[in-house]
Amino acid sequence: MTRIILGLVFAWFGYHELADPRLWTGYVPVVPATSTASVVLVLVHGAVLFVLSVALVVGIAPRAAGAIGALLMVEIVISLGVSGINDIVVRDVGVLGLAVAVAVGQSRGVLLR
Amino acid sequence: MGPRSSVGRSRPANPAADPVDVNFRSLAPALARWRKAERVGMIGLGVLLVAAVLAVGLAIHGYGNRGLALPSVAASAASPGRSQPPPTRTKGAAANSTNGSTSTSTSTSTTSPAVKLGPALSSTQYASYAYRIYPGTVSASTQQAMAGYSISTKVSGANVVVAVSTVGSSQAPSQKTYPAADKVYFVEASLGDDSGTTELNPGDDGLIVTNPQGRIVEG
Repeated sequence: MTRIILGLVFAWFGYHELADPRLWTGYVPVVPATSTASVVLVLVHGAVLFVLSVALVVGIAPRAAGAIGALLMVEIVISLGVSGINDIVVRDVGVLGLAVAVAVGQSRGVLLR
Repeated sequence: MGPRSSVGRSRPANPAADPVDVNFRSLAPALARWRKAERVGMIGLGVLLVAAVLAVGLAIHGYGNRGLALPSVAASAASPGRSQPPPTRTKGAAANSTNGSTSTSTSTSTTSPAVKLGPALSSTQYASYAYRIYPGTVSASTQQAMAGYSISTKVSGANVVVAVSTVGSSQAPSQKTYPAADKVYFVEASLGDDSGTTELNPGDDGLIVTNPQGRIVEG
């Protein structure tokens, strides 16, 4: 259940980052939001999230997918947290906890190998 | 503490001399079991490959999807102003700010023929995310959408001057002038990136101006 919920969260963000990356470039740290590089970075991020979401939902190496997802969430929390702790950062910490739980927990349910 | 109490028995005589015992040898088999459990077979690889191809396809589509090319709030008002020719008639002037009510008393004006018009705002993907800031009263939902920005409008003769600044910024507000009959909207594609008065992702914000018929004024 945990990995499927995490997978659905990653799927939503991954799809929207891929479908309309220019709405997300404001989150890219360091790189100017209007640059092509920021769009490409959002697309790469979205693609990784999308593949991770499939791995989590279907059950392909779910703990490895959770571990990679946790790393992504750490990066997001840090990049958002440098400007101060707010409700969005705290929410993402919750998603980070979910990813860590999937990474270190036992894989249950239907798994695809 | 009774004679049978075991509290404190496991404590070393000298706690400072007791090192933290981490058995790294036990980590290796645990990691090996973890890796073994995470083995991906041919079917799994195939599914991941299909997902990756789908993601690349979406990325190509997304890269080419410029949509409306949502003008950022900063860019909308950063230049000295897309001053349009004043309309032919004027009746008065009034001010409208994000904190106040509107009391416009301007005449109708026509957008200059030289102005390039885009599609109708109602036909774009941003229609459902557009919050009107002029004319009319700024609603509570509009105020919420404009978190992180200070936007005011002031009718000056036949024109409306839109002033935009970022909350907390020391820079003077940027201004742009439009015919008073135009409509000004603030676009916030996702309220989820607003935290209080802070805007975490300005990338999905923008200002859109339409002519009285609702067609987007580009440029």
